[in-house]
Amino acid sequence: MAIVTPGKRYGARLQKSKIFGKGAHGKKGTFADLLITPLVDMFVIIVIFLLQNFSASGDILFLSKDISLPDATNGKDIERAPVVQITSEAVILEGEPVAQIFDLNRDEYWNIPALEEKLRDLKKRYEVIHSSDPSGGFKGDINIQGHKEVQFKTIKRVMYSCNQAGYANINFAVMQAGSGKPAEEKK
Amino acid sequence: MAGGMDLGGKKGGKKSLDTAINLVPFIDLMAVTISFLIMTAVWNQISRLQVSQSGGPSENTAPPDTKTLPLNLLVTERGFSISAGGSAIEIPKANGSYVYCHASGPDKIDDKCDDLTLVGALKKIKGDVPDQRNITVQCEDGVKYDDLVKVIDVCNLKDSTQNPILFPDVSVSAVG
Repeated sequence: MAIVTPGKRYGARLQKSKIFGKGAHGKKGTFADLLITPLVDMFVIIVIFLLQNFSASGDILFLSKDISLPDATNGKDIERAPVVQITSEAVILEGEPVAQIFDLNRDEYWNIPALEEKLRDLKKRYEVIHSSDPSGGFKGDINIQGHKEVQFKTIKRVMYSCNQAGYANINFAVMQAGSGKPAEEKK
Repeated sequence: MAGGMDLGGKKGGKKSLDTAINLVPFIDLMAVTISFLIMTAVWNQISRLQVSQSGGPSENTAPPDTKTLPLNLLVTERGFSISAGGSAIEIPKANGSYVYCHASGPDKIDDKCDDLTLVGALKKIKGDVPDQRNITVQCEDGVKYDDLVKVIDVCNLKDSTQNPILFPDVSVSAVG
């Protein structure tokens, strides 16, 4: 004899009874309908939020773990230009190290010869590429992406080298602090 | 047919007007778009502060104005020193940090900066010489880049309409 669950057991005659037997609930449907409306709402909100925050300026400068940018509230939008990165250990032009800070601290020059030479090459290349384009004249823009703890004695040598190579419009890359509005507006 | 438009379908039968929009392709599209936007999202907004080396060309080259004066801001490891024309203002560090607006909080800038702070002193000079746009920031070798950027940021201070209220044409030079 089969083992059955303890409890009331009716006879075979009442097994199909709606009151006493198992026929009270009938067969439950196996089809469960998912509510898609909240899911679609959530997707729409996420897409709108992401589109509003979409920015292409991240493609111009790449944040390195060696460089922590200083914060500023009154900056302008960044533009594409050659990038000089200054870490605590090296000066890097367009991803290629050109000088070590340790070596720079030993000599007393105002410029960084290797950086200046490479910048002159970049300028020449730009002028050759844009020689047939009258509107694409050389503006001398350059972005300096420096670590916040770097001392001014390194910055000034980089700036001097840029200036000597013809890059006079120097832009310091900074992290936009707060909402991007001036600090006076916050209160 | 008795009234209503013939919607076709089975001969003689009424077709239900309830239609279900197939949301599956829409959800697929949303999922792909969200994945793409999250992968390409840039959460850090990077901007730039334009400077020129002292004596070098600047983007906003205005004709020389007689209503301006030579304005120098010296940044040393001891504090700020502003020389405007013949007068000089010393703003020493307070509690080891530069005094931008308040001695208690160097990063808080509002309208209540007194004259012995960097913002207050620069606003006072700007009030005396409203046409002045140029300032030369001189730095000692030991000053950190972070402090230099904060000083340039203060010089580029803007009002609620994004118009500069201090000296937006900043030249940077070394001491000596």
